[in-house]
Amino acid sequence: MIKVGLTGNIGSGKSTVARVFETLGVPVYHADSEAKHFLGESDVQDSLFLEFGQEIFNDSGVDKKKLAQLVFKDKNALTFLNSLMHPLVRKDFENWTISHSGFPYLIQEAAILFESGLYKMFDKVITVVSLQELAVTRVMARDGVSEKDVLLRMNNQWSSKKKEELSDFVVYNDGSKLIIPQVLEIHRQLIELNKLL
Amino acid sequence: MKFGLNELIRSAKEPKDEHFRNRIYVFLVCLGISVFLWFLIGLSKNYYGTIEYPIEYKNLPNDLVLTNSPDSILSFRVTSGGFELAILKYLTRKRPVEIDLRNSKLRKIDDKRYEVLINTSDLSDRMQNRLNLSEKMVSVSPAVIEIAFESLARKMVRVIPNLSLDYEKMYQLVDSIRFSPDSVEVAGSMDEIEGITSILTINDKISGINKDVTVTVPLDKTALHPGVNVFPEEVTVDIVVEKYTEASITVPILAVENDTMKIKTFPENIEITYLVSLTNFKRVDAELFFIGVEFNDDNNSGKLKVKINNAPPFIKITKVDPEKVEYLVFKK
Repeated sequence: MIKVGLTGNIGSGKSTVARVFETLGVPVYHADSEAKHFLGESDVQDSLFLEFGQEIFNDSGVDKKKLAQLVFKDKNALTFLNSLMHPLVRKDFENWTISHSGFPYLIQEAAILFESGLYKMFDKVITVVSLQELAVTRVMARDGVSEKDVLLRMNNQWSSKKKEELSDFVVYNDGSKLIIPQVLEIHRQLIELNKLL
Repeated sequence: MKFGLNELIRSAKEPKDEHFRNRIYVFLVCLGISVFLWFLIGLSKNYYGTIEYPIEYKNLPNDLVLTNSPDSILSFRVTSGGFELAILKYLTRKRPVEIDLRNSKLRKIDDKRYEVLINTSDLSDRMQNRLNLSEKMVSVSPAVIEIAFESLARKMVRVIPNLSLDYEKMYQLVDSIRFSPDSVEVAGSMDEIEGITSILTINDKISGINKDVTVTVPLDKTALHPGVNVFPEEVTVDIVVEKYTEASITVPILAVENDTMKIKTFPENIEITYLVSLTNFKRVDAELFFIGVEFNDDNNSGKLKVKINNAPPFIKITKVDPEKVEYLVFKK
């Protein structure tokens, strides 16, 4: 079975690409949303409290919005959060992989696959690339944040060019090509590749 | 001294002496007096002449509608002295000849059609006295005036706005334009009103609307038959406006599905940006939208156009993003 990493910068459209794969019957592990579940665990909350204090908490637990604002402005805080969450996500993904062992390939969708070094644990990596202006507009509309905040988040990510160079497949979501035919072609190649293994 | 005609004209143009010029003046004065006397003698004789008078119909039946265009001019052929005729024809004000239908006999043709026949010779004596003619009236034309009527039909028709409304920025109409009354009665012959289903207001432009407006707008009767009456002829229009705000909502595209196939779109949700009044702001919910796609057989773009099948009536959609979506077709 092939393990595929799916990444792309914020607002690039990787979630849409992941949904196309899911529609084709491919299991997709959404690392970012799974990581949010771990924020509810008491061990994680204790660590976050010790590091960041009460300010990132509200009545129902961790205030994800405040946490995001904090880590995107402070690289040390981001490094701490990643070091706390990545082992949990990695272990969870391994368990998830075992439970989906019957499929030709499976995908983990993660925003900072390259930045975190996690790409090394995948057999193939797909990167979704979009124009920055398009991505900024999408995120502003989706998350209701300012252009300045979006650019701040983008500054913590590698450039698309660098990610393209390290990727096995690239999906262009810049309006120049349709997404689905690109995904179908990657899907076909991965199925073929699995047969050769 | 003998003169040829040419020589006379030349001499008149270039008189050689004072005496000759005086003789020419005397000649012309005598000629003028002769012509005037000849004209007076001519006018003293009797002549035939036609004098035209406009007709004014009075007391038309209220419950009937006129369906023809009865004669509007009555021509009297008279014989009279030239002086009398000239005065009547050119110097007298032509007061209309009144025809009062109240006393006329209404003849029923069938269930809905009626007619009145007026023998104009009956008017001759009246006109003879009115004109005070010394001689007799010879004839009147037309000899008979035919006035056709039909039973008056009535029905109610809807009023449709034809207003150009220009709102100030961020102001929009609440619900719809309200009319009072919202329908009016049209009355006329059955044929004339049969095809009328609605009536437009006149095209009125109201600019810079930033508060509720109430105006009285006349109805546009130009497209109606001239014989059709409208009651009332104007309506009161209430334009209720409210300050709007811009908002957006994420709404799912409902999958197109039948027994043989299913279409899945990417993305599955679209972002709809809209203007909504402050009072309705909280009423907007994704469940009030019904979003589909337009599927054309000749679609070669690989994308389907998003189609808004249903949206809350109290919003004004300003943007749909994306307008087209990619799709996969699954055979069942």
